[in-house]
Order: sequence, then structure tokens, then C-alpha cells
Amino acid sequence: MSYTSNSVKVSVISGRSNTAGSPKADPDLGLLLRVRSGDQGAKTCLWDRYWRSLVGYFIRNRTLIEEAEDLASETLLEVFEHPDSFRGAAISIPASASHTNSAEIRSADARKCSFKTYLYSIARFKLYNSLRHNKIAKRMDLNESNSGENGNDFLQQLERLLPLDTDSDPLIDLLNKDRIEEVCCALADVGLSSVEQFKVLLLHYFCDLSHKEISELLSTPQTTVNSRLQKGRERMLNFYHNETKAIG
Amino acid sequence: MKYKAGRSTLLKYPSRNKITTGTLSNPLEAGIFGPSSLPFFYTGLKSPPKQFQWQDAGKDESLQYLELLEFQNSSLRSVFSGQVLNRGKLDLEPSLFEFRSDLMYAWTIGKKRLLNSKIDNGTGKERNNSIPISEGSFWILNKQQSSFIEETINYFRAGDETYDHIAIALLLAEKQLYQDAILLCENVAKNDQRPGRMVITNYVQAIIYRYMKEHAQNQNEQFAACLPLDRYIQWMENREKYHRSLVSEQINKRLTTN
Repeated sequence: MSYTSNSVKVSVISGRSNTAGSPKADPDLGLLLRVRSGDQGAKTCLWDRYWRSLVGYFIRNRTLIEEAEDLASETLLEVFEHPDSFRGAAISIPASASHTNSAEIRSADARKCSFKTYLYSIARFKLYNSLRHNKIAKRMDLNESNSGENGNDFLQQLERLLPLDTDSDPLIDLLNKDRIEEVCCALADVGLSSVEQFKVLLLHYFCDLSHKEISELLSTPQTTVNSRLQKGRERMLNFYHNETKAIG
Repeated sequence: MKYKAGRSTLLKYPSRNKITTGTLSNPLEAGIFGPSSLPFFYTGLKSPPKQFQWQDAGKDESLQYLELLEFQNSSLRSVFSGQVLNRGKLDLEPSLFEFRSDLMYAWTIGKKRLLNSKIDNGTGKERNNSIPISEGSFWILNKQQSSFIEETINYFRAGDETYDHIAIALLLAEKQLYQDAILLCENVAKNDQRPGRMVITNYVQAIIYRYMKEHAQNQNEQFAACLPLDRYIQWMENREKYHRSLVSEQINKRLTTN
């Protein structure tokens, strides 16, 4: 990754190819143009460039490997089927995703949006859908096959396995309702009191890292991460609700 | 970019310069002044610098003295000294000097040689503290630390780039890579000025300066004496306050305008 400041170009971190939010420097635009003209080679290039990292993204977000591979493929195929949907600085939502809440692809509503951001907004949409469907399917399965004495235990076990229920996390709900500006203010307000809570909230809700990943990244026990997330989330929601009341 | 004053001026003549006086005493004004040299005045680096940059180039391209000093075992020694054209930058040939990781380096540029044989005796005590090492100090991370940082970056492969970059900046600052962290934040602020992102970026910048200050405060006393570290710390504190005040202002503005 490279960036410029004070007319000084400084190379900082290798491994990421794009500058922050700079569509001018988007290295994928050329490939996408070739995809639009039906170039199979360009599709292969994009596939090779992103398929593996997409699989990693889905796995990190509590998806089994086979399903992660399917979702990664679906995401890229979505792009290939509707290559005109991406317009760089002013994008539109892909046709098949048009039924989604616009906030679910909030990262793609940027005035400046790279292809990668666009791609991952589609991936995120597919992930949420998948998690939602999986959860409903598992609950239905449980109701049918675990109606005996151990049914509740098993259900509780499953709830523990899925601690990040996107359907019931009020912060995710707010983000999905496109309340990103208010949520950012709430996050900064939490940060003014606790850097540690700010950090885990930022990594989890804004960078899509799982509890486990945050724990590894910060070399902090997962229980501590969970606790900070829970307390931070409560504080953010308090701030948000107080703000809403104040606005009336 | 809002930087208006060269840091060299800021540190050398604080009492004579109105801008500088304000910078040191008033946190609200501190935000518009910042370091203008690379490497920064106090930072860890992932790899040896390839270039020195400074802002006090002046109108002419006169010859100036560049000094590079190494701090080891409580002593400071000059490892490079030479005259350079005052063009505001100097490329460093890798063969010129081999930096060692985990050692502190300081560098300075001026019209006179700031250092003389007295300070090169290994004691560090005869250093003339009235002459600050103007441009700053840096240290190179070892391979283990650098690879740890690479691994850290690899976690961020998805999602919104702005937030990824903000988080990376925060983590870089924790590993003492203050220069990279600050430049990354400034780049984010330049490219994405949506209010929500701005408030988060400002908050992270405040935290970076706080980490920087805490690290500097724990610095070896003798090294601190070689640099005008107390002034750096004052400035870091003001920068933190400045960014915090922006965060509060942005939150309050949000509350009142909605």
C-alpha cells in the first residue's frame, strides 16, 4: 500500500494494492473494462486475485469452508454477470441485489468507491443472507428433531455457537438501517472514555473481524474481547438512544 | 495539507516565533502545525529510511551539514556527517550506512556542525544540551516485529477500506510506527470526508499522539536529554487535545444540527 502526504510518497505496507478510497488508483478498473468487453482472460485474472481472499472473508465470518467457496464464487459471478453495475465513483447496486436494504451495502455508497469495496459489499450481502438462511434452517431442524428433553440444551449450545446473531444485534440493525453517521459518533463517544472498547468495536463492526480474530490480533483473551464488545455495544446504544431523544 | 511551520523552526526558536509560541501553548492551534521532516521526529520504522526530507530548505541551495547519530548503551556517537545541498531532501544510498534494528538514531541538518568531538567520547554527558538535535529520531524495528506487523495487516482483507485503514493506523501506532500511522490517517482524512469517518479518524489520530507521548515519556533519560524531548512531548499532548476537541465538536455539531 502506498500513500501520499505533504507531497511525499511513502511506501508503508505491502500486500494491499489500492490507496485509501482512491478510485483513480484502482488497479482493477482495467480488468473490469475488459470483462465488460467479454474478455475471459480478465475474468480469470479477477477470479485469481479475489477468490481466495473472499473465501477467507466468509470463513472468518463463521461460514463453513464448502459454503465459503460457493459464496466466493457466487460473489464473483455476480460481478461478471453485471459488470456494468460498477461505475467507480458513482456505482449502482447489482440487479440481483436490488432487493437488498441499501444500508447492507453501505460501504458501496461511497462517493469514491474502489472495485474491491464494491466487491466486498456484494460479499457482505451474500454473507448476511447466508447466515440468516442457515440460522432459520437450523432452528427448523432443531424443532423437528430435538423436541425431547435435550432440545433446549442443544438450542442453547447452538446459540453459543452463534454468538453474533446478525438478526438480533441492535448495532447491526442500525448499520443496516443506514444510521452509519450516528453509529460513528456513538463509537467515537465510547472511545473518549475507553480506547480498548473503541478498538474491539471498530474491528468487529466496521472491519468485519470475528471475536476470535480480534482476540488473536490484539493478543487478548476472547472472553475479554467479548466483554469489551458487550460493554461497548451497550454504551454505543445508550449514546444513540440519548441522541435520538435529544433530537426529539 | 495544513502544516504551516517547519518543525525545525518550531523547536529551535520557540520564543521568537509567534506561530510557534501559539503552537506550544495552545492546543487548539496545535492542530494546524505539524512535523514536516521525514523520518518524523519520533517514530519507529519498518525498514531503514531511503531518504531524509526537511522543510527548512530556504531560498538558496547552500551547503548544509547533515549529521546522523546513533544512541547505544547510554552514549551517542556520530555515525555519519557530511555536507549536503540544501534542497530539502537527500536520498540515502543503502551503501552509505547500515542501520541496525532496535537502536535509536537521531538526525539533524543545519548551517553549522551541531556536534563536535566532545560528545563523541561515549559518555554522552558532555553534550551541549542548548543545541537541540533538530530534525528528530527514529528506530528500525527488528525482523520479528516487522513480520508481526505484516501478519497483522493480513487480517484486513475485506470490508470498507476507510475503516480498515483507520484500524491499521491504530495498530501501527501500538507497534510504535507513528509515522506510518499518522500519514495513513491523514491520507484517509483527505480521501474520505464523510462526517462519520472524519470523527473516527480524528479520534484515532488523538490516540496515536497519546501513544507517542506515553512512549516518549518512558524514554531513556540520557537520550531524552540529547533531544529536546520535553518540547516534543508538549507538542504531542497538544496534538492529542486538538484532535479530541475536534471529536467533541463534531459529536456536538451532530447533536445540534439533527
